[in-house]
Amino acid sequence: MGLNKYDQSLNKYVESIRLTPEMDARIESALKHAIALFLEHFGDADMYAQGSYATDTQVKPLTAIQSSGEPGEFDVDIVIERDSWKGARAALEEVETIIDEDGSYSQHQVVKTKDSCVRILYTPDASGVGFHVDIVPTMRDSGTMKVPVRKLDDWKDSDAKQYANWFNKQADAKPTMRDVAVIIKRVRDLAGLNDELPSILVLTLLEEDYRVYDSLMQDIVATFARISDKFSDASNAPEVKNPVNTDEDLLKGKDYTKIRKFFTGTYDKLTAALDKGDTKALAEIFGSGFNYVEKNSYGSWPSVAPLAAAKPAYGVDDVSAHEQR
Amino acid sequence: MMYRLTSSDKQWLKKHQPSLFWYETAKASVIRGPLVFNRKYETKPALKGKYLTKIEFGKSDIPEVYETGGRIKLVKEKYGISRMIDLHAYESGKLCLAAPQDLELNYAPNPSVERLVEEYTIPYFYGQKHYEKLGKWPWKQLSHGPRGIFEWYKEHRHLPGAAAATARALRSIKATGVINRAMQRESFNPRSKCLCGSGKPYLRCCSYLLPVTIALRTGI
Repeated sequence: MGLNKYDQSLNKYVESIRLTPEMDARIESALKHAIALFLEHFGDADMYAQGSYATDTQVKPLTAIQSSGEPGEFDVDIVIERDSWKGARAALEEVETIIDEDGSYSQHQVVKTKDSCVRILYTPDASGVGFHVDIVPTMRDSGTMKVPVRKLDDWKDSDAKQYANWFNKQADAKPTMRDVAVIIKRVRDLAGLNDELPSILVLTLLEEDYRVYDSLMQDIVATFARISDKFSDASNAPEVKNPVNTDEDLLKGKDYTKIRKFFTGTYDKLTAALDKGDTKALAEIFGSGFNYVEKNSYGSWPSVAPLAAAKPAYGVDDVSAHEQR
Repeated sequence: MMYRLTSSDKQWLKKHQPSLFWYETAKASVIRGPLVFNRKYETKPALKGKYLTKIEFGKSDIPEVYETGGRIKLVKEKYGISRMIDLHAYESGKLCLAAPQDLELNYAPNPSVERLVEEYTIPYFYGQKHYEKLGKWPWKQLSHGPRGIFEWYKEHRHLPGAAAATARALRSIKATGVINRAMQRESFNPRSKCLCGSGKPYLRCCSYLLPVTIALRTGI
């Protein structure tokens, strides 16, 4: 049996932390609208979504209650890929002008200070969870994809499309990898590390030497074990090379101590909980949505609450009264 | 070369220790979880037990086994034992499963999870459970450190490779005193001080340790 017994609960948990159909619909709608709008102006452009949407590893953001503070946001990055723009800053300003002149975005706040994109903030949903769209103008220069850097009025290398292609190729061959990615991201969010530990770093660490075991829980433990091993040296951060740009160390500039503590700490808590079969501790690690249900003695998952013990028709003290009847 | 679990290992685990789980990293293959047993040995009582265990197959031929539930520590407190090593465990939870020579000569040439669990780990935990319940070991225990290594050698010196394995065991625990005594002799002199550290000459002490001395000096 090993850890298989947790898999049904884990699968339900993964479903519960992925985006809802309503969230997916918001993304689809935003994508369609943006593509229709910008292709009218940039007939030569190639437009597509990138980021977690492109790798199918999006995780539902935490509500205010779940995060004990600010609710999270989900988002989609929409790329406008062209062979050339007037300039880096000019590319962003061109996108901003199109948005300003198009009335359909007038109800939304447009953020024009992001370095590499123009952000459109949508209205939060009923739970307070936000949604935004980042429009990213990109260009391919001598085979290298570049995104603008507003402050420098220049371009920097960043090939999110190639990264997504790389990840999807790995994940398609290893069926549980996306589920483990989503789980790690959720646990990361619960630890308040979504800014410190970006998705590209999570996915790159996850993919290294990933293998599929007999159960999803085993895949999760093995992943945390592998990454903890990689981070075994507390003083010296290892290199985590971007697989599509090996000059880029994804860990550079990040708080290695925090990231290391997250992976090694979660690994320790997870193995301690699994050693003892402590499902309460597992629920603390994974958060609400993980609810381990044990099979009953008939080997079935209980679908109804057990019946309360039938009350006797008479109290114990009433035996003599009963016998008298 | 690092030991990786074979399909026989995985099948054995599934059948005989289904609560244990395993995974692999670049540095180790790990098996962990509650190891259970229900055993009776010869004239000893039948005992059941469950110990939270971690088994690590790393770069060495000999795996490391740990008790992770703190149960041995509780026994130490129960009986007021001052040192964990007197219960054949280290403070880290790592277990002193058997004499290092035993593991090298008997286990390592034919390693498997089944052998490690059945021949070493379960008997070890059976001994722990016996001590926990009855305050005494079920069978004779080896001493710790160099003394225990010599005790094993005395009983098994007829086995091929025993002297060399004993020398390696002494080096692995950095038994500096013993190694220095072996190295100080210019040439074999039966009146030289015995390797065991008694201060007596070899001839009147542990003359059987001479092959170990030679093995230490020749670096085998």
